[in-house]
Formats: sequence, structure tokens, C-alpha cells
Amino acid sequence: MANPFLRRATEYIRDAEAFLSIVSPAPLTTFLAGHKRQNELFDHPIRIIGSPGTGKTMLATLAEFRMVETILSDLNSQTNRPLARALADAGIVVDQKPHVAAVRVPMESEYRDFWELPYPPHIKTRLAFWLLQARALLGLIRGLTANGKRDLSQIRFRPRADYDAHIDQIGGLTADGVRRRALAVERAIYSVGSSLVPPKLEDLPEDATAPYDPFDAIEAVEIDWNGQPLELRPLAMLDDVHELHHEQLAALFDVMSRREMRFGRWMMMRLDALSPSAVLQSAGSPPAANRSEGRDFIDVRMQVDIKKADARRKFRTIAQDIANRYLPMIETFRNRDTPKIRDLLSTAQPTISKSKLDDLRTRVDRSQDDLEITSERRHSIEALVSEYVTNVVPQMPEDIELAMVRILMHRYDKRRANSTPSLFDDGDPDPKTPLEADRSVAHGAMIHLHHIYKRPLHFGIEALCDASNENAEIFLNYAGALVAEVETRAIRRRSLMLSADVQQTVLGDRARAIIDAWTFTHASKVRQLVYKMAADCVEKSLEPNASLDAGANAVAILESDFENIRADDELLLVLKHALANGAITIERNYGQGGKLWCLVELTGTVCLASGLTFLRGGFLPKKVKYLREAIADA
Amino acid sequence: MREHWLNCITHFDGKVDDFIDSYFTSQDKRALLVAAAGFDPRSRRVTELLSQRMGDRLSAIFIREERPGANEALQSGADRNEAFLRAVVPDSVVTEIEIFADDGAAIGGSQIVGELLNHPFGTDVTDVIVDMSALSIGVGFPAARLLLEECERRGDCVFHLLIASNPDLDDEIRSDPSDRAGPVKGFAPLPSIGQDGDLDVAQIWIPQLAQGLGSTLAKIGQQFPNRYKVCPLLPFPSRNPRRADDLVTEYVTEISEEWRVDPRDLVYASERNPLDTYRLLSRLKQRFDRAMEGTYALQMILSPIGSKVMAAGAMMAAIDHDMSVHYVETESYTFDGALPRDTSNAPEGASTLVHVILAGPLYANFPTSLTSTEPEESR
Repeated sequence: MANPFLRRATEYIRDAEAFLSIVSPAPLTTFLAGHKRQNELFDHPIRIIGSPGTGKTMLATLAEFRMVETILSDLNSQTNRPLARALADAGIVVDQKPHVAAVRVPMESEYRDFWELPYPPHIKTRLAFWLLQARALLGLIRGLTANGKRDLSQIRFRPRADYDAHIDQIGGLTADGVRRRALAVERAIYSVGSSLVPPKLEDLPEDATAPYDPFDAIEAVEIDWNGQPLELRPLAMLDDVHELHHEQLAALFDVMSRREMRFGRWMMMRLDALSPSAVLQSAGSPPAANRSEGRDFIDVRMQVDIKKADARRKFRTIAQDIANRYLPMIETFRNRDTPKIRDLLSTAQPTISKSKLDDLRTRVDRSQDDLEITSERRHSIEALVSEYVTNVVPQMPEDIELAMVRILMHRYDKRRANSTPSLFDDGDPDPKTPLEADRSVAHGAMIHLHHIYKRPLHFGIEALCDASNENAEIFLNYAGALVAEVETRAIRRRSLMLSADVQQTVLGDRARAIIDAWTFTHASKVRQLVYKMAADCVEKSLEPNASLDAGANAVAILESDFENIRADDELLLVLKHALANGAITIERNYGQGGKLWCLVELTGTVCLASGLTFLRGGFLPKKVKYLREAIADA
Repeated sequence: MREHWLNCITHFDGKVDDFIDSYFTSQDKRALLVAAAGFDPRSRRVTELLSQRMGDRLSAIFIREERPGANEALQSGADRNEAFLRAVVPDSVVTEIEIFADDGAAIGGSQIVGELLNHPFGTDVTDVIVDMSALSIGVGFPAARLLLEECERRGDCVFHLLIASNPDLDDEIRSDPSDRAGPVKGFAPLPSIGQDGDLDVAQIWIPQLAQGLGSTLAKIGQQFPNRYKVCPLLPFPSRNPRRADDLVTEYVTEISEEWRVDPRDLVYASERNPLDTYRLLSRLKQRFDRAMEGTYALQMILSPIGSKVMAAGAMMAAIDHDMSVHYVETESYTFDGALPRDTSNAPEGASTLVHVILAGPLYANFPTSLTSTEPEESR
């Protein structure tokens, strides 16, 4: 079997048991159960927004009725129990019974094709909307009968009050009638959208033009549940609505967000479906289809909506949970105790070779000579570093100590140059701001050693999680590459734990492969932008005095300048796609030095590929022109 | 079912020249040629052959596929080819087809259909020729189907496919796929799920393996997570006898682990003869239909992304048996090889020339389904 880490979660969907054994309830708990308006998630239209790989499809599949029924059918199973708890927390299960009949409707490219038909926009929208309603009902009925627990005669639809007149147009209230009508509508409308030469407007088939509004008409579904009647809230989860044209999506959203509709509607989309200003969270970004968030619809953002440092900590738990579910699926581990992902990744500090260490010593001595630093000053700097090592990191390797000394000598030189000369200057004045040896200098030293001597920088489970920017798919991609290496070692009967060197090589190669494989819109411009930013950040990080400590991994534009970029500027479009596809992150109104900045940060993937730190905060102040030039001529 | 396609008229290489010499030199022939005017060195060959024999009896619609961000070298290659084509066929129009909409969706199929409907061919046209050599399948397939069906409807018009194929050159042209997979316009029939609509659909995906296109096929395959079976299509016999082996080596992970292909499901078709691909797919369809009757609704999905000749055979099967064709549109091309000014002087054997006649009065004695106005009923 292929490395399960490297397969998309959607490939497991065909087999409920296989899917449930790998799915983590964490996204359900984090994004739905923990949502501040969790009680209203089935009443209002919901936009579930996330980058590719954040688990939208996985979440929708888990919420589908057939999966919920499978989970509830065996609550003694260790796999099912935590999933059932998460479903209950999200309101999908109540009293160990389903509360919602949910169906996932993939918005395949055929819906987008309707936008190319030679009809007025409202007709094209209506055709696509009716097709998706028909498919939602067909999928819902299929889901309700999928596990063989009931047949069509045990399913009935309850109409909204005062909607009795609409019952005929949806095929009645029986599952059989509703299904037949939905099939007829699907066939008629599909044939229009997929035809080589679309029929004239007046020649559209009757089933494609007769009124059909089941989302308006249906309020509840009644089914037989273990011999008892049970009423369920219907819910259509439209997956990948970003595939639609943006005008088509706006029109469809307008139709779907009618308040009186009782059929639940979740629209799952990638960030790039939103306008650049909405993605980049500009102030005063226009509302979606003249509806306002909070009142007419609710947004669920599949990113942890708390401080980024907390988000990282939270994601580390989610990621390890996912990885530990995948590991037992690897055949090689079946005959031995399956290890935990944490135990496979060594966190022991690597050391550079003796010859490199000798070279480093020479380099430090040369710096001392070049900077004309006295022996006494060097001794005092070495004492500072030794004190830090003794008190804080007793196991610190010598190479980091030496690199720290070198950085501090350069810092001393800078501070000496900036101090006012004294008549009694002996060439070794004490700097106004005393030197400090601390964690940040150590980080700077590690960056220097990584670039000069290829000493590993990114290793250990926390680095693996941080490299993923809270994206489960990216995490699995990196973890999969590491696990493949572990598998080889298992076959060769060697120790499973990967050294820092191996981790760095595997992760770096994978990061570069991910960037090379970007094929989204404006990918080449995005690639050019991040490589330019990364090159400048590396240059800054390698300053001998490590002025930004662990170095830079971002550029910052003054917020006032960024706000002035026109909404239709190509730069915003490129930044939107970069953000939506995990090349950069953006933080607005980042306060630093008494100014507000728009921080454009490189993601873990780019940092891995370029040897930059994952630590946040180091940035290069730039102008908008810098970004514009970086994407030119791609 | 078009019975005559199982054994229709085909010519290869030198015989194509002989056929053109003997057929198109006849003064009562007036032909419409639809061909690409892109950077591909094969854009010129067929046009040049025909124009030399037909002179002003040849008219043409040249299609220039426009992709955002095409590099300058390819643009100038296409400009040179376009100028050449305009010069050799004075009665021609060059149509620019935008392959992508502003949201990145592939719309080339809809665009070409609209353009061809805007340029209906006159009743004096006796032959319609589609040169598939340098057309992408997103444009070439809908164009060919539209024109074929029009010729079949008229009954007195001959429909030809011509392909200058060079799989080695295909391997040299690198393409960056877009991020969306989907059906080719006009090639996405809804599977028939029985009278009561109670049959489950069994999707059989038949990807044509081609060098360096693993990520493209992976994107297409992700559209069918519930597929019933995958039957990879390999070129054999082929000009390079090891090509099939090389492809199996390249795709070993996909075949054995991702798609979990039963070795008996690998299928082979000649790289040189489109009828071989057509016959193979027709046979598969018959067998699956027989095996699944009353149990599943069969949906065969083709992804002919490799050799143009095999793609032509796949297109014939898709048209004749209502199969789906899924692909990923190419966002950009990279071609490091020299762009020859005139490929007609290319060394013998560099390209294979294939000619197929799919419809026309010469098949009048064969049973054909599309003489009826209600094709679904008569099939």
C-alpha cells in the first residue's frame, strides 16, 4: 500500500471504515463546536473558508448522514467514540441520535460551465441552482438509505408552513416522488449545460424551466431510526464553491442566502474565492452579494482565530493526532509497536564536523582581528556566552557558542562605533547598551551555522508542525516524506529515529518540490515573489551582527501605503493567490516602532526551502514598489 | 453506433500524400480546413500539403490558442507560423481563442464552438478537414465533433481527420497544467442509470499514460474517488518499442499503489493507428456493458493526454459510445527545441502522418445512426 500520508484524504472516502479510522475529529471540534455562534450553524447560510488542505472536504464528509449513522451504529468502537463526541459538540448529533441530515454536494466544473451558456445571468444562475438542489436531494436520499437501515418508504419530507402549494413542484412529500422529480430535473438541466451546442432559450426542456425550489419548500426530513420516528434538519454542504466564476458565485450566494430558506446551506470555499480586499482583510471590503456577515450569513474560517503563537500550539496537537492515526496503516510497522510521530524525530542538537569547527574557530579569530577587539573584550563576551550556556542550555554544542561569540563581537563593534568618542578612549570602551547573550542570539547563531556549514536548522516534531502553517495537508506531505525515510530504516532493521541531518534534507527537498509544483493562478509570479523575499531575508539574516536575532522571514509595508493600493491592482490579486495557496501569510495593522504595518510573511514551506527561521517578528521594511518589482516579468 | 468506423478509410505517411494527390486535385473538391496556428512545428505540415494541391479551392479557419503569460519565444514562433499559414491559404481567417476565463476556468471548448457556429461553412464545401496535429484536446475535440456532426447531418460532405504526430516531439514540449481538471466541452454525458434510476454508477477511468504527465493524471484521477476500476492505456506497438515499458516504470507507484491496477487491466493500442485505440475502447465498452447489465450503470471516462494519434482514436470512441473525456487544460508550454521554420523538410520518419475519413457519401452503404434527427433514439 502507498504511504498513507501522501494520499489525499478524499481517496479514503469510498470506504466508510477506512475513512473513519484516519479522520481526526479535531477540525470539527476546533472550527464548528468552538464557533461562537455554534447554535445557529444550521439556520443561517454558512461560508466555511480555508486554504487548500485545511480539511474542508474531510469535515463535510464526516458530517454526512451516512458517516454519522455509521459512527452511531457502534459507539463501543474506540475509533467512533471521539468522533461521536465531536459530532455532538458541533450539534450534528443530539442524545446519540442524528440531528441533521447532511449531504455533501461537490461543485464540480460542470456548474462553472453554466456561466458560459449564451443566456442572461439570472437564467444561468437559476439552472445551476436547480441542478444543485436536485443533486442535493438525490444525494440526501442516497445517504439516508446507504447503510441499508431503511428504504424509501421510511423517509418523508415535511414542508414549511404555508408552502403546501409548492409540494407538487418538488414531486410530493414521499422520498420516491421527490427522487423521481429530482432525477428529471437533473437530467434536463445537465443536458443543457453539457451540450456541445446549447439549445435556444425558448427550446429549453420543460423539466429545466418548470419551478423547482425544494430548499424553500422543505423544512425537515422524517425517518425511521431504530423503529422510532425521528425528525432531522436537512443540510446541503456545497463543497469547493470557489470553482464557480466569481460573478456566478455572488449570484448563487444571493439566491442561497434568502433568510426564509429552512434547508441548511454550508458553502465551503477556498480563500481565493473571495475578493482580494476580503482575503487581505482590508478595512471597508465590500460585503458578499450585498449581504452582511453576522446578520445574513456566518463565516467559519478554517484557521485558528486566535493569536498566531497560540494557533501554532493548537495545531501541533491536531497534527500529531492526525499523524498518529496514519502511522498504524503503514504495513512495515504492523509487526512492531507502532511508534508515535514525536518519537521518530530526533531533537538532539546536531554538531558540525571537526574540520568545520576548526574553520569556525578561525573565522571567529579573524573577526576579532578585523574588528580590532581586544582580548579582554573577547574574554568578557565569551564569559557572557558561557554564563548563558551554564544557566539556560547546559547541553549547547560548541559550534553555537562560537557563533554566538562572533555575533556579539560584531554587535559590540557596532555599538562602539555609535558611542561618543572620549578623550580617554582606550579602544575598548563599554557600550552604552550592554551586550546580552540570550536565546535570540543563539537563534541567530544557528541560522549562520545553517548557511555557512549546512548545520541542520529545522528538525523535531515542533519544527515539522510549524513548517505546515496550520495546514493539515501540508503537514501530512512533510510527515509522509519523513515517514517514507523511517520505513526504509525499518526494512533495513535500523533504528527508526531520524537524525536532524536527515530531517533537514528530507524537509528541505520536499519544500522545494512543493514550490516547484505550484500550478495555481499566478503561480509563477508568486514563486518569483517569495524567492525574491526569501533571498533578501537570507541576506538580512546573515548580517554578522544578526541585527534581527533569528533573522527575517517577512517584509512589511506601511499600512497607510498598503491601503492605498487600488482594489483592482494586479498586485493584490497575486497576493491573494499567494495567501490562498500557502505561499505567504498576511497580518494587517502589525504595530512596530510606533507605526502600523502590513506584514507579508513567508510560510513555513518557503522558510524551509530557503533556510529561514520559523520564528515570527523579523521583517524587512519595504515600499509597495518592492512587491510590484518582485512580480514583474514573471 | 457508426459501424463503418471499425474499418474506416485510413492512410499513413507516404500514402497520405498519394491520397491527397489523387483526391484533392480533383477540381470539384472545395475543402474547409480547421487547424492550429500555434508555435508547434507541426502546425504547417498539413496545410502546406493541401494548399499545394488545392490552391484557391482551399479555405481555412486557423485557430490561435491564447494563454495568458505565454513566453516571447513561443509567441514569435506562433507569429511566424501564422504568417506562413495566411500566405499559403489566402482564403483563411485566424481566430483567437482564449483558453482561460478571467477566473482561470478552461473555456476554450465553449469559445471554439461559438466561433465555428459564427463561421458556418457554405454548401459548396465538399470536404471538411480537421488537422488535430497542434490543437489541444480542449479545443480540437469539440471542434471535430461539431464539424463531424454537421457533415453527418448534411450527408454529402466528407469529414477528414489529419494528424502529423511525433510522440518524441510531444515529449520535448513540456506543459504546465492548470489546477483544475474537468470534462472536455461536449464530452460529458450523464450515465444512464436505468429506467427507475436505481443503478449505481460504476466509473471506469482509462488514462492514457504519457511521459512527465503524472501530476496531470493525478489531478484528473482525484475527480473520481469512487471509481470502480482504472485501466491505463499504453502505446504498443510504438515507434520506440520500449515506450510502454518506460511508461510502466515511470508510473509504477500510481499503477501498483495509487490506482491499484489489476495487471490484466492494462490495455495497449497502437501509437500509429487511431482505429486501434477506437476498436480497443469499443471492445472494452461492449464487455463492460455485458458484465454490468442490470447491476451497474457504466460510465467510461477517457483521459487521452498523450500521443495525438491515440487521442484521435479515443475521441472517436467517446463520440460513438457517449464516453466522458476528462483532462487538465495546459496553462503554459515550454519548448526548448528549435522551432523549425519549415517542418515539411523534416527528415523522413520524424513525424507520422495519419489520415482518417470519418463521414461522407462514400460510407452511404454502411448503417449509420445520425441520419435520424433523434440520435439518442436510433442508437
